Amino acid sequence: MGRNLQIAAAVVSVCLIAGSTASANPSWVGAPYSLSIPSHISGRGQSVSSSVNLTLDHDILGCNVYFSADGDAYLLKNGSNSLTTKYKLTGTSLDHQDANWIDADQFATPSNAYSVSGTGTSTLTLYVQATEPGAPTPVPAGDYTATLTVTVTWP
Amino acid sequence: MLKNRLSLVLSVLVVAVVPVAAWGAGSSQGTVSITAHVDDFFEWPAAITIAAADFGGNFNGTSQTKTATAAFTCNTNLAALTAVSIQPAAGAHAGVLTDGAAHTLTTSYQLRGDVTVPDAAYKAAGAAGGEFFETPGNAYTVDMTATGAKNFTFMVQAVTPANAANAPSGDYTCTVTLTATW
Repeated sequence: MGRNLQIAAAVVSVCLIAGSTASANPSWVGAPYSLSIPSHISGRGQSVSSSVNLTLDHDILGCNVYFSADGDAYLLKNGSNSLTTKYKLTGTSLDHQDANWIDADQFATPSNAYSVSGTGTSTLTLYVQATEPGAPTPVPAGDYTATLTVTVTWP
Repeated sequence: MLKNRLSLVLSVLVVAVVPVAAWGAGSSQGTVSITAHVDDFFEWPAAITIAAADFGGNFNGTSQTKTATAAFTCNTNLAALTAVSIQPAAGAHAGVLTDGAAHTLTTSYQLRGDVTVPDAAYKAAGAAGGEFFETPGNAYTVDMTATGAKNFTFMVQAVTPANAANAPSGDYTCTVTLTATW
């Protein structure tokens, strides 16, 4: 009986070690994120832009990050009106940083994934650019909103 | 006895597998909410310029009358039926065509296009009653039955003085400011 307990205790100690390590799954620190572009659009064809930092906590190698949206929620919209919306992502831990603006539909798709190197805390910066589309009729005044989902996957 | 030992060990192993499974592939999501704001605007062209050539040739005599026209478009996102008015104001040289030595041409203006009451005749470049810069008497109500582009025609008339000595050769310039309010 005493030998049985020894075996059980040994197995349990392994379990506790494994369990504590597994709690460090990658996660977004500070989510949900919010970005309100401080500059307003006040003319046809005018562009404004801003950025928000996204903090990824990851103790696993090989993480990938991508953005997605429900339908065309990647577009800044106000009812049926929308602004021309573009994004880019930068971060020193990324395998590639965007140098140029990417159309929203090309940006917010799982096929546009970014590899994150190393482990620990990575700060990614999401930039958004909103442009009044111009012709034929300028869009009306008001707030235009978009919602992105940022996903980290690990192997 | 041996069977009991195995079942104890196996049951602990089953518990152990649950957290270990978290090492496998997985994903975690967050959301980003983004807001941009568009203001009301009534957008003027960068500059509306009437050059000497727009008068169809230079003045070359006394009491000559010449006119020039500038067509331009303003873009607005103001809602239809928004009350919008345009008020002219004198700029450089009090809105009167003037040379470097303060000689002047008799100057008058008209504004036509998407306004509810377009001018039918020239109004003198002054601020008195009935003149182009009368404030607020000579304000123009923009036709806002629909939103979008608004087209205007700004017209200027210049007359050389009867006395040639008062109109030496050279460029005569002035500026006018048009302000939209809503």
